[in-house]
Amino acid sequence: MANFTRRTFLAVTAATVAGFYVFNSKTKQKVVIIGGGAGGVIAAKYIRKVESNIDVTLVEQNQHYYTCFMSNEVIGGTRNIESIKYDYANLAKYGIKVVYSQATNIEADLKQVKLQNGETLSYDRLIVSPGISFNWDAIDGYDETMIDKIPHAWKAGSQTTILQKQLQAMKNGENIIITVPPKPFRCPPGPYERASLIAQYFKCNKPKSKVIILDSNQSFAKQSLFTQGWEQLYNYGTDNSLLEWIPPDRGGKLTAVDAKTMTIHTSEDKYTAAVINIIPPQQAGKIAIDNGLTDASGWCPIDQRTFESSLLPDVYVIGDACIAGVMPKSAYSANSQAKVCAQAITASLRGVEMVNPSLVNTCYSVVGNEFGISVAGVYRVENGKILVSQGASGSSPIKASADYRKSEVAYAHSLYDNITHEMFD
Amino acid sequence: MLYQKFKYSILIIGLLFNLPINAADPQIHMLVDTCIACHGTDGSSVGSATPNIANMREKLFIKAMQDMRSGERPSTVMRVIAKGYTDSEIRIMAQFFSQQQAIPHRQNFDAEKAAKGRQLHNLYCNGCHKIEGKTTKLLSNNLAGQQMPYLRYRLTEFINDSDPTLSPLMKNALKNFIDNNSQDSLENLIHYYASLGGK
Repeated sequence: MANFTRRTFLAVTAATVAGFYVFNSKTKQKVVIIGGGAGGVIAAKYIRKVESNIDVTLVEQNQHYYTCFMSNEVIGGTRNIESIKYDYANLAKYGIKVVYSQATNIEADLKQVKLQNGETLSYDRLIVSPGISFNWDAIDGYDETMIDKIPHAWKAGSQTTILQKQLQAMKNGENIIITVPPKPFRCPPGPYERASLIAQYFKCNKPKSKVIILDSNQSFAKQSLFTQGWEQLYNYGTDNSLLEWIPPDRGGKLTAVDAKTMTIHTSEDKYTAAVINIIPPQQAGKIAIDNGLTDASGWCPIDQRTFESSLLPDVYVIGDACIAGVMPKSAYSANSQAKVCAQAITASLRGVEMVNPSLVNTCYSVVGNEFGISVAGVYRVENGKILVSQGASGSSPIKASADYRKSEVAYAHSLYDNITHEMFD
Repeated sequence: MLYQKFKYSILIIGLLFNLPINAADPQIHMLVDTCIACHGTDGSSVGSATPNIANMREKLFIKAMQDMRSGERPSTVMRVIAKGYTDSEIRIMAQFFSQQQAIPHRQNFDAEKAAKGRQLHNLYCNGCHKIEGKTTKLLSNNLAGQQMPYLRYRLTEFINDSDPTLSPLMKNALKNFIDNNSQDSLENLIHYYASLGGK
């Protein structure tokens, strides 16, 4: 304390006053968080970590959370559904209140949220981390009522199990179709990882079966790396390939579904299969759409520095639902955004300016049990936009040893253990 | 100016509540919190392969980031991620993690191998990689409780000569070890370090 200057003295006084305000229970500030996924849970924990005197309530409709990340391993039969199942019991340790209900109305002018269970929660700041919803009107012949027969499995849980059981019930020689929606969607490499792990299952159990990917996009995430893995592991590009990828210019774009005959119509052709997995076109979660947080794109525009909605004051949107510059829609992105948002909110409640945001995404895809690939990026905010920092964005090298590919599977599982530990332990 | 004031007030609040000063600095946390989802809370990994970076020597952290950024040291995602930070940011992160206590995660090790590994460690490694107390060697990693797959990857890189940033000291020590011991011995060492994890 040798440099105890006048400025410091003023700061101490300011801090004492601020401290009285923050720590006085009568004026305890409230943050409500909607959605207990990769974004919401972390935001809750980090707000409490930075400022333990803020009242934090998490609103989540489900008692259990199944991670979408690693759910493709469940579908491919190399992981048990129980191993991706979590609950919110430990959040109480951090002083986070969990309310199991669905948020229905955001009344931004009154700064309160209405829940399905009749409760009304008032807030000083609201975080909306709802993930995605599906645009059911977009596909002719397919909607929410058919998901038991034709699962999407793009939200993990019972849908994951349904698809996995359908695969197991298939006869050797029967095929599965996976349809990929137009970008942007949750987890850009996800459909191709899923196709890979189903091909791996076929290789061991149903070698005459095949995965047919009908894609609405002409290119995809980590494409050259996936292609290399498919060639090495699943005879891709040969007559015996366990996988086929059909982009729009070869008639891969889905136009209609006939559930009765299990047929997919595309712009140029029709395909029939024993199992169909439709990954529907996506938009921000329902609560965001219903409450005016989305723009014409169906996603939520935000101040990319703080994650505060551009449309509603004191409401913040993180994770898959928000438009976060060049960041992909992944669990790691949501995790990183939640931490920045927690800092933005605590700074704003203290009436100080937040520090410069720093964000990271890391995303692994398991192409086979010994073949992992990754993409990573560091991001910062310049002129109000989230941009790649110093060129730090890229995927695994196309030239790499078998040991390297194998190590990326170990790192993928290690990331999974750490990110879920951070969320639920 | 505002930020300076903020920093001071945080510092004072931190002192009032007897928190470590770092624990409340938002700029430090903005940087280091991005590492946690892979490397574990404050750098102690519960994942099976990601190395613990808690209690990592400051100088070693800086060197590791710089070597991975330049591509000299082989790495997977870190060759990309290390590029995203300035030298001063890397120094801030290095200082933070060097001050964190490593909380080793319990691993499945073979007690017999670990016992053999312990003897080998004392004979060949303890000069630099001290288990009790900190070594004076600023670039020696803390191996107690380090993840087994990670140790295997690193040692394989060293043995295959695929990491040109390896110090001559370690290179010679490893050569000496391999010349005088069987292949299993390295595995025994790895089991020993794993055995120093949590109970």
